[in-house]
Amino acid sequence: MKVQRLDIYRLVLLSLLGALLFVSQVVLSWLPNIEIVSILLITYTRVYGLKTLYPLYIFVMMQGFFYGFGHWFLNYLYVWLPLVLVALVFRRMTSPIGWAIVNAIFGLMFGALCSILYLILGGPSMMIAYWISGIWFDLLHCGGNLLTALVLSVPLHKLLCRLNDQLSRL
Amino acid sequence: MNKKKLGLILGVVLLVVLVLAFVLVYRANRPAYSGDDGSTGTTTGGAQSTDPSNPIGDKTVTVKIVYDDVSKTVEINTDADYLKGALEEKNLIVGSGEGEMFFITAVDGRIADSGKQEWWCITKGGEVWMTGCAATEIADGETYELTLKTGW
Repeated sequence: MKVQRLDIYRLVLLSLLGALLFVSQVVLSWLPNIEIVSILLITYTRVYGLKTLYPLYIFVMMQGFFYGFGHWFLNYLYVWLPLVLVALVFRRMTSPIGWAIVNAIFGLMFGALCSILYLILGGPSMMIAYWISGIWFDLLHCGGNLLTALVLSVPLHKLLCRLNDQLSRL
Repeated sequence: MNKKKLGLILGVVLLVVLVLAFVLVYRANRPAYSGDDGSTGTTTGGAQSTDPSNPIGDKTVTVKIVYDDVSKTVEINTDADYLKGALEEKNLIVGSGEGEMFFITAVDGRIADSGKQEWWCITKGGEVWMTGCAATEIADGETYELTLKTGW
């Protein structure tokens, strides 16, 4: 029975982490491409590995329910996965500078990753037009992600590890 | 030098190279915007219309783009005879169809979602323009609006 209780606790925790992703996105949505979803996903992946897909897709679905299922929703279905996979590969890395670099590169590539959808929808010209028109915001995203990871990667990781330990002792 | 430090240095170098590459691509392609939207919360942005890289043509047309929460004005110096050519010079539109049957499907990277009955409406001075952008001859000083509409 104890195992079941733990699973339920963790299920609730992962759901709340998904809700946290969503709330963080909404709260910071007035800032152009400044977000903490990426560093939260990195932190989740460092602690929970592939289980991060639960909060990630709770977040994605809540985005769809909240903003409507537009074509951008198809972007969201895949655009965060590379970040989770890269974080999974480097999950033993402890350097905040290292995570800042990973997060910044992801921010920079966000528009390019989104534009893959437009390659399918409208061909190479649409893909390139979409990507180039958003580069300014990719650069902002890059800078924002660099700073958020530098500042938040260590405290967030410590916090989530502590929370996870507390749950493990239940 | 240990592996960790080497990895970090390589990461920093990769990031710097990528940022420089993106800046160069952006500078080579940036449109001449004089946006009044503050470019907040959008996926696009741009430089000022005084951009020296903006090629000087023999006519200047002003295009106001309105979608979602965005409203921006683009001044285009062009030699193009038709609105489509002027808009394409600035990578502002994507569309489908040939010749005068060209139909705008995306402006400024914003795709009209046909599933939501979205479409791009061309107006000139607020009046609905009955010809497509490929059939619209332009003259110096004209102003057009491209507005994302919902509902057929």
